[in-house]
Amino acid sequence: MHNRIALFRAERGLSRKALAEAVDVNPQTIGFLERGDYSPSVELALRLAQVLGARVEMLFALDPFPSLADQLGATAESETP
Amino acid sequence: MAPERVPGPVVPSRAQLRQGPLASAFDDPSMERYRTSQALRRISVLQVGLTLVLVTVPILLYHWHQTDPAMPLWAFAVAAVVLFIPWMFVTGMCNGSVSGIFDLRDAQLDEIERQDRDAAYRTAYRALIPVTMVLLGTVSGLSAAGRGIWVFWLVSLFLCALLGLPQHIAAWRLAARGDADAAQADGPSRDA
Amino acid sequence: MMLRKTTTKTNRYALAISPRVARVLSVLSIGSLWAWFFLKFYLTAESTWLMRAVGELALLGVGGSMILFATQYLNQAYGEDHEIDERERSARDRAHRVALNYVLWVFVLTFVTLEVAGARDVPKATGSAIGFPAVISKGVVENFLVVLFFTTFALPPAILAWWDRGESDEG
Repeated sequence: MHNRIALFRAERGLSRKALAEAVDVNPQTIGFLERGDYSPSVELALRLAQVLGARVEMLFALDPFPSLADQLGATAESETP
Repeated sequence: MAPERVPGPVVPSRAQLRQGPLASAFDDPSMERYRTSQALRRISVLQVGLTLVLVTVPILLYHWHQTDPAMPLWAFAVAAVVLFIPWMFVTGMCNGSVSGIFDLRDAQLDEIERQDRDAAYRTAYRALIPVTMVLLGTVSGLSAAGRGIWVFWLVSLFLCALLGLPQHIAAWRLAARGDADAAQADGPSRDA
Repeated sequence: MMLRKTTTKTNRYALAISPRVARVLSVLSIGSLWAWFFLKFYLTAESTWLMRAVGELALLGVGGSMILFATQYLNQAYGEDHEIDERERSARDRAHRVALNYVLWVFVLTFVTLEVAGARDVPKATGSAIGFPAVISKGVVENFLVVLFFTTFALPPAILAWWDRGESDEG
C-alpha cells in the first residue's frame, strides 16, 4: 500500500506526536505508517483522513501516487497561454 | 479532478495466492464439513485424545520391556505405528478445519486468517509460562528412583502441547465465532 | 536507564532503555542462561572456579531477564488489546509467534544435542537416569525447564527490542 500521510501531515504543520495523539496511536506507529511498513485498519485510515482533512483515497492507494512535482508541472504548463 | 494514477503491480487474487498443492488441498470443498462449529470441537477433542494415547502407550510398553525383557520390543514398535496412523489422519483433519492457517505462508492467508493465527500463537505462548512452572514443580516433586519414565512422559506431552496448542486454540475460537455468526443470522440485523 | 511513563495508553511506569541496550541485554541474559545449562554438565566437586562462573552466569541470566521484563517492551509484549494500538497488537502477536517457534526449536535441538552428546560419552549429568535416553536425567530436565521458564518471560520483549527501529516521536 502507498500513502501520502507525511505530505498531508507537513501541510497541516503536525508533528508525528501530535498526529498520533489526534488519532489515538503510539507516535512510532505514525512512522511505520508513513514508511509503508504497516497498513492501517479501515477505522484508523478513516481517523487519519478526518484529522488531516482529506479523503481516504487521497491518503492511501494500492498503486503508487504520481509525483506531485510532475503533476504541478503539468498543471502549470496547461495553464500558460 | 481525480489525480492521475500511475499503473502499478496488479494485486493478485486469492485464487492466485492460494496456488500449490497444500493450499488447494485446504481450499477443497470437501474440507467444509470439518469447519462447522461442532466439527471443530469434536476434531479438536479427538486429536487431543489420540495424542495422549499415542504418547502414553508406547512409553508404557517400552518401560515394560525395560523392566521385563520377556516382553518383546516389537510390540512397542507395532503399537507406535498402529496408533500413529489414525493420529496422522485426525491431525490432518484438524489442520484442515482451521483452513491451514498454521501450514500456509503469510502471503497465502488473508488478514483475518493472519490475525487468527497470530492471536492463537499469543494465547498459546501465554499459557506456556504457567505450564512450564507447573511442569518444573511436578518434575522436581517426582522422587529420584523409578519415576524417570513419568518425567519422559511429561516432557513428551509438553512437546506435543507446544506443537498442537495453537491449532486447538484457533479451532475453539473459530467454533465460538461460528456459533456467534449463526446466532446473529437467526436474529435481526444490527444495522437494519 | 530511567523510569518513565510508557508511550502506550496505560499509566504504568517502566524502565526506559534504548533498543540497542535492550538487544545487548537480551543476548546476555538468554545466552547466560544457556551457558549455565550446558556448563553444569562439566561441574565436578573440584572445579570451584567453574562453580563460581556457573553461579554468576545464572545471576546474569535471571537478572537480565527480569530487567528486560520490566522495560517499556513489557507493555508492548504483554499489553492487553485496549492498552496498545493496532500496530503494536500486530507486532505483539507476531513476537509471540516467533517466540513460540523459538521455544519449539530450542526444545527439539537441545534434546537432540544431548542425545548425540550422550552417544559420544560426554560427562553425564547427576540425578537419576530415566533409562531412555541415557544422558537426559531428571536433573537435566529440571535445569532445562528453569532456562525455559526465564527465557519465556524475556523472549517477547527481547524480540520487540530487536524489531524496534528506535526512531524519535518527532518528525
